[in-house]
Amino acid sequence: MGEADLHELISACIQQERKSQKMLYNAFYGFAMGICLRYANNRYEASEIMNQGFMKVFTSLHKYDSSRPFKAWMGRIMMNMSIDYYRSNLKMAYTDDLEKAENITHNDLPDQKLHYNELLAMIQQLPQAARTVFNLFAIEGYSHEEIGELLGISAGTSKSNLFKAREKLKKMILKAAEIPKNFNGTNNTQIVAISNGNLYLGFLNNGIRL
Amino acid sequence: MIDDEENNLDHRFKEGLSNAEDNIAFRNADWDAMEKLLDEKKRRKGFIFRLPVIISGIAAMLLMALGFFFLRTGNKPGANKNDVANVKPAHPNSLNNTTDTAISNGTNLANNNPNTIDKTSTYKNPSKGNSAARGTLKNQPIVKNSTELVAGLNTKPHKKVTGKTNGVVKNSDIESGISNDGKLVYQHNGSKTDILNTTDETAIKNSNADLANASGTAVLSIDTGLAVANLSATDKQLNNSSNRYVAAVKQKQKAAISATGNPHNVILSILTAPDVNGVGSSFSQGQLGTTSGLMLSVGLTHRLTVSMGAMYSKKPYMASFSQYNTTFQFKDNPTNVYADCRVLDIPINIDYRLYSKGRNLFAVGTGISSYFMLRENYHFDYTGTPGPSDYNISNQNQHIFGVLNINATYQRRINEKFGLNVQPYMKLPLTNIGYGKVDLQSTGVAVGVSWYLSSSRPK
Repeated sequence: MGEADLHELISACIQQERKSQKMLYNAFYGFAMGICLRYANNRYEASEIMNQGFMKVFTSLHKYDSSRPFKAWMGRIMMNMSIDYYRSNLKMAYTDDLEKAENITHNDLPDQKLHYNELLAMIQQLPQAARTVFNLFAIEGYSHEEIGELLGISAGTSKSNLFKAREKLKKMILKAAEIPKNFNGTNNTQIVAISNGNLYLGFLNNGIRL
Repeated sequence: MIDDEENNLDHRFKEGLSNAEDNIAFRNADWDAMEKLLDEKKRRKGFIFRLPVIISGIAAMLLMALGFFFLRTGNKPGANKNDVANVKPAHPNSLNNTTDTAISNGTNLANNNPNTIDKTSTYKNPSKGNSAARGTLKNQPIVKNSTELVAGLNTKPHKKVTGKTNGVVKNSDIESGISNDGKLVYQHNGSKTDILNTTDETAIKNSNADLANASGTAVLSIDTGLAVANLSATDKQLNNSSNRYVAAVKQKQKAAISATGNPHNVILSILTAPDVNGVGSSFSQGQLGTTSGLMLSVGLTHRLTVSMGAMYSKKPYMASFSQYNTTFQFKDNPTNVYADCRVLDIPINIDYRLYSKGRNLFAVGTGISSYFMLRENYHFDYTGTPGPSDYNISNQNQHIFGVLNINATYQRRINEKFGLNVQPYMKLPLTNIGYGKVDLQSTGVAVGVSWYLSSSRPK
């Protein structure tokens, strides 16, 4: 979609034309859903967050500065909406996570290329707090100080959660790399390599905090 | 080394997740949910536009109620304690004592409403030797509670007591007071005469109503509740003034009587209630909540009262997932939903008084409530694969006139101003309530205190 078309579509959306709203929704559905999926526990929650984000987009379009990239503007709204969605639970989660942060041994990451869905599944298995901080730091590019401000936590807590997220992701990548070995029959006991302390409940409940 | 590894990890995820658009298929269900949100937004916007009208309406009702209350306050006894009827002699020789239709507690017997009696009548008695008398009759005597007294007078019209003396009327020659049966009695030279009926216990005590007229004629004229002390029956000017005064009072009283045809009580009630909230027709899985708030009631007629107010409610409930509606697509549906909602309930009710005797009152009422869902917390319970555990929203749902109220009220008046209420009630939804669009019913028993801002005494 060209810039001119986009601006025309935005103007129509400001007039609350439902047809144009649907076109804009269709055009940026994948982009918006991609952001929300990274912060959400699953597709269903992501859909809800995304729709709330689109609602914010539709009601704030008149504030959009057309000299700036639309995607960046919308992406920021989706991110904020994702953070807001979980904000009420986050502080508690950060406190818990800080105490449970732990060291695991450092192994070289395998070079195995992972598909989008696999990476997304790994992110979604992270505890909510660790997932949020990892998203903001590793993918969005915020500093710990900025994350602290965004989430209302200290920079130290942010670092701790990032550390925890990386450790868990590494473990998941290593585990994913081991699966083919199973099929080859070279290693049948990979579960033994995970200590009880490392076995996060998120694996058992699809990463959902109950 | 560790930093490289971390950067590598971060980079791997950033790269891998950047091409989301190619991997995410569009789902029509998401757009359907979006459309619903847009439609709801449009409706809410409409409500917000109407909000000033609604608020203005509520404000107007409150103003009317308060205005009425303050008008009524003007009728209350003791509002002007200086209003004591005095007929003072101008001539020390002609009047030995002040002629008082006095009230010992400083309360005017007369209706203090300036609209009813607002005149200061000056009776000038031209000097005729010793018989000359001049008196000032301030805010003429007599009625404490205009509502009751006037009502009483209505059935006992125009009773005139005239006492004539040929000489000096000494102190306590004319006395007035409240007899045991609640009748205002003026006693003149030992002859007891009923003047008017009143049940007002506090009212009128005239222990030293002295009337003295050296020339000899004292007239105590009480006409439909108003005593007019005429110092001299022979004084035409005085009589003319008195007649004009009485005529004016009659007119005012007529207006007062018509006004008292409807006892427009203004009552402020504080209520609190434990209640049970359930979804569907059964309260078998009901959860206990609480409701408390204020109600302002205005009497329309002797039997009908209209009330409105604001109640803050905590409404927890449990529903099976089949009773819960959402556009959210669960991977595996929860079995039960536990909700905890905070609701601002704005009821408008009308009550019909079935029984009212002595201090007891029994009424039934109905009306409609508007629910403003301040906070909604939903917790999902799973037996199988767990999914999202909680969903919380704030200020997203309003149900204007969405709930039917049914109640019965028993009230026991504890004194003139206060009453204790017990009010069983039910709240039945006319629309689906909250984010979950559930058939949320509530029932409970409210207890509270009613404060009669403006009213008659309990019979």
